[in-house]
Amino acid sequence: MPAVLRAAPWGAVLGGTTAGALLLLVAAGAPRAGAAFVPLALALLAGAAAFVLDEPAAAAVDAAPRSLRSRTAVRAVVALVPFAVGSFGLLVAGQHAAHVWLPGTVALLAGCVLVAVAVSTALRRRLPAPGESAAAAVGLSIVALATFEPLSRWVSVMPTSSDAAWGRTAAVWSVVAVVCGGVAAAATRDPLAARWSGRPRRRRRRRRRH
Amino acid sequence: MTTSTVSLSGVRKRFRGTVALDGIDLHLRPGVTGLLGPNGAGKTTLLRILATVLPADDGDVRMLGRDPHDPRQRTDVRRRLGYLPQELGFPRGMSAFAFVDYMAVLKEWDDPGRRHAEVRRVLDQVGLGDIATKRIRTLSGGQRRRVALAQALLGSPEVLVLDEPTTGLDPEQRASLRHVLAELGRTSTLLVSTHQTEDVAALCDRVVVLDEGRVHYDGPVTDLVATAAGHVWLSAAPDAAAQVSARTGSGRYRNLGAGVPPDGEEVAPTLEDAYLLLRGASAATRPEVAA
Amino acid sequence: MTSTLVHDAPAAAPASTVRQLARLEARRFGRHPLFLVGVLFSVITMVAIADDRSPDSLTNGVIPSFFLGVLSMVVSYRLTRSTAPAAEAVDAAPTSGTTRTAALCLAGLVPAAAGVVWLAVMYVVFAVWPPDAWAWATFDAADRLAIFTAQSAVAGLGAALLGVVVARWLRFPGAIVLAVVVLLAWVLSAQAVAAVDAPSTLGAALRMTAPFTVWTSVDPGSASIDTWLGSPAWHLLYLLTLCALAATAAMLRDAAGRTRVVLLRVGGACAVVAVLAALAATTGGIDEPTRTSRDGSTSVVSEH
Repeated sequence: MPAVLRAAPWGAVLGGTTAGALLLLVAAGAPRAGAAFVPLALALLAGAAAFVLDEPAAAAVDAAPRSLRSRTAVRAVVALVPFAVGSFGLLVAGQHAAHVWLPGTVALLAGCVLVAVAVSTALRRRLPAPGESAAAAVGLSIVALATFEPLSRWVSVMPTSSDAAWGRTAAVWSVVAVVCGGVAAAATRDPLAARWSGRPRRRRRRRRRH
Repeated sequence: MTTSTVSLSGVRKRFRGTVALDGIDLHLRPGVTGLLGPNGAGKTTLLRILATVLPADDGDVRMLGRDPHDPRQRTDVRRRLGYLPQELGFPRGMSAFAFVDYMAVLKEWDDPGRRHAEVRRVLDQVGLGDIATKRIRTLSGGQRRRVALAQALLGSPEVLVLDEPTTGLDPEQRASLRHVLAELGRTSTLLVSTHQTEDVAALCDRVVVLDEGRVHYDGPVTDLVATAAGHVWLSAAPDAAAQVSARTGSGRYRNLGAGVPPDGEEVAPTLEDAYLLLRGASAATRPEVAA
Repeated sequence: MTSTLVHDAPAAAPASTVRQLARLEARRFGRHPLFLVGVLFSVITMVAIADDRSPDSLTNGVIPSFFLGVLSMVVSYRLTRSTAPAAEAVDAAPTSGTTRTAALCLAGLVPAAAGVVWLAVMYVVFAVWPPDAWAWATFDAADRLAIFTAQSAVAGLGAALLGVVVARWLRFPGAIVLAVVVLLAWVLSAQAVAAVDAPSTLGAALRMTAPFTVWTSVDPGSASIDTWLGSPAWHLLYLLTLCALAATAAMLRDAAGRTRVVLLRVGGACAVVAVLAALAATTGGIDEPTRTSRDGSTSVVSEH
């Protein structure tokens, strides 16, 4: 295993993943009431993914020659663990609970994990260990969206059953994925490079005025 | 004769088979005592026991005549104790004033008016009065260290246990801190653990050298320095026979040991010389030793 | 730096230390961004539903339950854990861990107060835009007050206390996320069982032992309201004893000697009262699930 992956907070990631998987098993065991557990499991799995960028030794690591973007990319691989385990859990739940539509919920899980990693990436610029904050923010948002469905007039953001309007949901999550990609790209930019690239722009503006 | 404010007899502490303290006998009276020793000597463990945050496995500990193992007496000791840990984090989002104010409440300063005056006093004492409302995370490392120090100074405690108080401070701040601690040492008992021998030489009238959990020296600083007299030599080349040989800023070599190097010029020893000689063989493995 | 010698170590009574500490913690709680977000969302949803003519007024209480309750749980967890980096210095202070925990528990009165304000505003809204009489199903005024109090003020207080318990007892990363999910899984499973099988005693028992309980289910076409089993007043008492139990459990973490013995006794007494109150809540009050129609007629629901 590469050293960058060895340094990942496996305890938190595996703990959250296990809890999420257990909840999905409960959902599979209680077919009529279990669909309610799926968003909670997604919150736990996304919360587990939020920890992948924790780096207590950030002060030293950030000065290493390997760029933040490259380190983030390697660490993001760890997020595949909650995604893979969660997907398997959804497969089991989908077979036992008729209300859980597998392709849609797996895509939802991917979106939730992506959001969690993007939020962690953004917080990682200021915090060495953004996991706990990101997990709380993303987990609570998922639960709130699933419980209150604030956008239900227009779109169902966290559906689980096959009879939901998945087309609109897919459109919303596609936009979310693009935003997450943008956030991650911006947050992993080399801060010095950003500073240098700002100077010629200012010069060009001045020239235009003259 | 003044009775001891801090008294340890046969104190032992182990951590999973590792002996951290091995029968420490120590009796402290008002004044400033320096605690020297290599990394892993047991200094922080000793200070944590004195700060009442870690119980000793064995032996007798008396602080201000009280037994910290007894909950009531421990609370009584804590009312009269100031402690600066080696590493101190701060709650997120708090200003220097808010943190010291929080610590003051924990130290039972319940009258808000008096408490705020005391917080301002200690922040002024460590030179942070002007930036007291700044958030701690925006402060420099030295300023954070002074915030940590300020909480230890609340109420001018009778016993002050300081673990590396000058780490991160610039020379001016260190000099200023020495002045503050020297003033406190007139009436309070201060135990200062540090790797800065010049701080001990400038501030302390007594020094304790700890190594491998045992007291290797306990006595006046001047007596320890005197043990090195006649053992410190300056020479143009490093002396292979010396216990320690290090290049100085002038390009000459400072040799510590019993032998006189060729063209050697005897110089007055410092506390660091005496400490290194005391450390003996283990000091010889230091990287600056000439081959 | 200046130096002055002041040897006036204060001699304080623990009660005044708790008061001062609770004041500090309450201020930190009230200013915490997450709590303010919870208040803001409660206000926004309150405005949104103020003149809503749908008959689910009795379920509106779950809004503060989530926004004040769950978010307060996270806030109190974070406040409790915030002093962990300074633990070495904090532990050397004369104020015990039990006292510090007691102060944090008292700070839970902040979300409770926010819940009381929400409750008061809710009653004003009901006075200005009174719901149709049938929307209250079979609950009288006292029942409604017990339901709304449990869902707002007590939910805020209880969740904040639960946050302190989690912070004191669970020391692994993400503990609060796990605790929130477990809590919500408990709540949702209880409601789900009741929704699937309304007359079942198991469903009633699950609902009566869970916080943030919902008492009615509105027909998708808003044509009728199903009322589930249980006694709102006993359930409120049960929740209050759970609050006391949570505070006791939190304080027990650092307690030693006589304090520990006293806390264990108080905790035992609270547990007994909680069990009795849960039993009374399950067996008392509404003993048959009913369906209330728009015309005000009520019938017994035998099966779902």
